[in-house]
This record gives sequence, structure tokens and C-alpha cells, in this order.
Amino acid sequence: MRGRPVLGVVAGFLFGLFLAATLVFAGVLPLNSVLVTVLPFLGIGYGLVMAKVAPFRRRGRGAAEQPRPATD
Amino acid sequence: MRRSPTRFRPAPALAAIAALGIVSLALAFPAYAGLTLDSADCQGEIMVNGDDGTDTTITQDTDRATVDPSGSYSGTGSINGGKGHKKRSYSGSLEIDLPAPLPDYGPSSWSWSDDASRTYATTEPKTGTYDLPGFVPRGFYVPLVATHAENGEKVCAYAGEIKVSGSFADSPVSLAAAAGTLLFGALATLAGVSRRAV
Repeated sequence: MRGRPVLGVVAGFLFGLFLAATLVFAGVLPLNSVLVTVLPFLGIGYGLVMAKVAPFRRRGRGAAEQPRPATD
Repeated sequence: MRRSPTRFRPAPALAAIAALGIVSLALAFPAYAGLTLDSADCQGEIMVNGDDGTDTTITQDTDRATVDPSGSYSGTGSINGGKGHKKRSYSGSLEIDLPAPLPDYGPSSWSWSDDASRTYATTEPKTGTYDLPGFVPRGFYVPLVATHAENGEKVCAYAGEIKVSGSFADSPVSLAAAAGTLLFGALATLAGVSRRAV
């Protein structure tokens, strides 16, 4: 696993928790919906999948690694 | 699964997160249902007059009601059909049971008590004004709970749902939840950035 699984688990859980709260506050989900309980764990799964499919390359990284031309 | 240089152990980490999640969700979303306790023929009625002109009546049989964020109210109640003359103490309260970490909302004016009363029904309606704070989310149903105790023993418990009229954007709590969703969604996606690439 080349990504960041710990970040994926923690951030994914909080992502799912806040997403559930947002959907409840928006009236999309009722407060006692089973999805409110399930979403944080789906978030953990999302974070782990992101860590598993790593690496994502940062844009412009390749250019940054190019040797600098001589200035004089 | 190949072991990573950070020695990440998925099983204990997932078990800990699962336990944390179950505990936090149990605290965050309390269970609610209809009339949960009535051992004294409890009756209650609250008439809510919103500043927007809406009138709402909530009784011990009301499952759901919608109220304006501010207005006035008038409440009456009785136990045992209002019959009885024995002196005793009583106490009770009404509050909006918000999901943690939000605090429950129930100002002192929403409670009642007497150390030596001989009446079993309100003689004068309990009236007042209310102005719900911004942390009470707008636009969706939250639990409304009330309890009444006689001589320290709980004899009535009511649980219904109340919706404060308004939209998603009217409450800072809703906006904070949306911001948290975007922030942690981005962080969870960043878990896919290779450690070598940073």
C-alpha cells in the first residue's frame, strides 16, 4: 500500500460522519436512517481504497524534478 | 497485503475505529419514540404562536410538529385527571434533544416544579416567549422530549419530533457540516497521494 492508509481511515471516517450529518440537516436522510450509521464506515472504505490505488502524482511534480539549467 | 514502511496494521486500526464509531454514533443520534412512560394519566398541551403567524399545538399524542424559530407559547397540563388534594412535590422539563456534540436546548423557563403543591392540573397556563438559537438546525426533525416527576419519581415521559422552519443555510451548524464534508472528503482523497510524491 503506497498511499496513506492511516490518513485514509481517519479522514474517511470523519468524511462519512460529516456527510451523514449534512444529509440529515438537508432533510435528505431522516435522523434514524440506517445510512447515518453506515456512511462513516463507507467513508473508511473510501479512504482505504484511495490509499490502495495510490500513487496519485502531484501536478507539476515531474517538471520540478527536472535539473535546473546552468545560469552562466 | 504488502506491509508498508509505516507498519500499518489494518485489523486493530479498523477495530478501534469501528468501536469509536459505534460509541460516537450512539451518543450522537439518540433513539426516540412516542409516549414512553405514562403511569399517571399525563396530559399536556402547548400552543405555539410563531412570529411568522403560524399556530401549532403540541399535545402528549403529537408525533411531529413544525414551529417558527421564535414566537410565544402557552402550556397547560394535568395528571390523574386533575383530581387529588394530597400535598406533594413535582418537577418536570421540556427540551429539544439535539444530536451530540450539539448541546440539548431547554431553557429554565421550559421547566416547572413545586415543593408543596396540592393541585394536579395547571390553574393558569404557563406562558412565555422563545427565540431558538442558531445551533438548533433548521428544516429537519429533531427529538423533543418532556418528563414529569412526582415526589422525585418519574411518572411521565414524552418523546416526539419537532422541526424548526427554515432552510439548510439558515443554521451555522448545517454550513459547518457541509464544510467538514468537503474538508475531510479532500483529506480522504489525499490518502491516495504517494508518500514518495510529497
